[in-house]
Amino acid sequence: MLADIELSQTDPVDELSRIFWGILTPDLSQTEDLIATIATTLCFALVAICLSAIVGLAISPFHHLWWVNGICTFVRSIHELFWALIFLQIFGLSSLTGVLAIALPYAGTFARVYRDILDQGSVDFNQAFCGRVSGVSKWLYGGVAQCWPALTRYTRYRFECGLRSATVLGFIGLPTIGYYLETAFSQGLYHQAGGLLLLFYGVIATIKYWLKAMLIPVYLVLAILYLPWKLSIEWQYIWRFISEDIVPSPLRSTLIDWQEWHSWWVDVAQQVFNGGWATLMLSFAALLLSAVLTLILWPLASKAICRRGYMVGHGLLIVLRSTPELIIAFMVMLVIGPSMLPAIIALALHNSAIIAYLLARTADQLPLRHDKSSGLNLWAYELQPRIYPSFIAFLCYRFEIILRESAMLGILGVTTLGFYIDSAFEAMFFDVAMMLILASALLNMIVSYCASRLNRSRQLFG
Amino acid sequence: MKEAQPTVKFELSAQDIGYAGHPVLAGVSLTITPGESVAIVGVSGSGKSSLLNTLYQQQPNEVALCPQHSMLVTSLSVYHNIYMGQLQHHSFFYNLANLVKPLKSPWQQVFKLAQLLGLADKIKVSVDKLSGGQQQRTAIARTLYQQKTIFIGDEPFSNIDPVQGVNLLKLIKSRHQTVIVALHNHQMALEHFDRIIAIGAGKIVYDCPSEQLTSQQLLTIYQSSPVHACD
Repeated sequence: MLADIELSQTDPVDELSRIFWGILTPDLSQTEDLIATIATTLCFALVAICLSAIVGLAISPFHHLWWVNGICTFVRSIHELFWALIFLQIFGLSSLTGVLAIALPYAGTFARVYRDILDQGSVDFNQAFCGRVSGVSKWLYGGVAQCWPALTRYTRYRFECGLRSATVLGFIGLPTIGYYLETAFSQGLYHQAGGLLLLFYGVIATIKYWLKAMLIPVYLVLAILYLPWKLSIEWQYIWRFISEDIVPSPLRSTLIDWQEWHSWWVDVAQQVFNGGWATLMLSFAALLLSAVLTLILWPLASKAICRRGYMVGHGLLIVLRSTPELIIAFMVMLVIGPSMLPAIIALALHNSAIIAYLLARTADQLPLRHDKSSGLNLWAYELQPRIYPSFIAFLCYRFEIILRESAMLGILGVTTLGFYIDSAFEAMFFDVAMMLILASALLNMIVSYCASRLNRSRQLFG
Repeated sequence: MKEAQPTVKFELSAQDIGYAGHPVLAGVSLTITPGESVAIVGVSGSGKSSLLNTLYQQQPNEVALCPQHSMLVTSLSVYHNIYMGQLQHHSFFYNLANLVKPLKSPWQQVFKLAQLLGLADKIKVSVDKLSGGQQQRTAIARTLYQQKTIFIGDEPFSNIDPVQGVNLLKLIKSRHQTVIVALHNHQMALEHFDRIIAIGAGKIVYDCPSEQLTSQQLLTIYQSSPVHACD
């Protein structure tokens, strides 16, 4: 048995029906609390995305430098939640912790994706500009202005991701939706949880109506004013954290005890190996289940296959992809008990919903014969074979994300890297926690390097 | 005994064809009766495909359609692409089983057809590995496999050499009561079809029996101002 997927809850059906009943009959009576929670989540996401987008855009011209690229890759290979755990030690439970935890890895992603967008869409500088034009002007007019629609489209998409990240930060104590949901679910207050989820879906589904470019500066000011910034920075603690706490404990004294040094490494290596192995196992299991679920889900959202019924499938996919993995995993865990299975199911549901949405869109753009077959025959014989390459490409691309999320889901008790990291923080073994976070970053970078190599060779020979 | 009158299969009277407000062909009137073989000629973009599509929409259940861009599923084998002609005759699970592993009875039928079209050795090859001509023959095989009474083809022989094209046309005619084909090969249109409909400048230029036309007259539709070749 490679993965722990045992069911340990005695009556899962009863619990499941209570959760569903709660979500179907949401309690919206505590409106003030609900709105405040949603507002905090939105503010975190908004401030963090604005900050990371500006930083990312500013870095993007230098992204080709190996060390800039390296730093970007490194910061984004560490999950927001792990960054939050680190900043928590420095800034405490402040808004700065939440904003930085999201903004840092997102800035790394923005820098790379903005660079890709600008490389693809920029005007040929030498042809478009005559005379002496400064580099910054060329970049602004020929690049940023030229690619503005693509840049804003991607930023808008990342805002939705930012909302999910902000939600997840609730699980370590920041007052976002995740915090509220965890409390509500743990206490069996499913009606309240249902009310909050419903509002959250409403906010996400209406983003395009209220997130207007002109209004963003106004929202940003309001968000900064709304978030509590009370900081009690104790420089001596911060200095101690950096200079002492995260330094491997055997190195702290001037005389190095080699025995202790050895046993420290053995302990860390064991945790890295166990956690890394579980992270990989979980990721592969989730990838496999994602693939199967995608095959079933995408036809439900395809106009060509379901005709008008596609709206129902589309709605289902929105709900599945808007709900953060951590929340799904938490709900499934309540139903079937703690094991790797809730995490596998959560990752698969969330990621397959995203891939299914992209595939349905791809499939509906394919030209079809006038005498095409219909329904399941159309799916099996015409559309699925034709979108197969996209299906594989999307799965490959999501694998990197699944791996990051697998490590993170450890905070629910699944023994992936996140579990060991969370435990080390709780036990105040910050040196061990840092090593484990570095290991998770390394694992991510190795996998992403392998995936990109695999993708390149597939494009060359496929 | 009174001979049964052939019933009209297609009928258009003063119909505009194309997009609403921007017809590709205006005021089209024609009837096609069973047993006819009709060639539709005209320059590229003159509206041949739109006309064929309008005709197809009138009898979708009786027409075996061979569209211009053969629209094969290139990642599937020749066998599966031909088999797709009869997808709607079987249950989904039968089709699914056949997708995973070809079933015996359709395999035999498709193999025979593939032999007739010179595709027997390619039957297991995926379509993206075929030449343009082989792909077109696969598309024709798929259309034949539908076993309908009417064949509508949109330039089905454009990538096939003339001799082979004529043989394929004979095969198609032997298996269908009515044949309507859009094509550029005027020699083939004159020699192998009963009737020729020429379109150009947004309307039907002429519509007459092929025996009343000479090659010279037929070619006038490729000139800048097409003229009526017959009445």
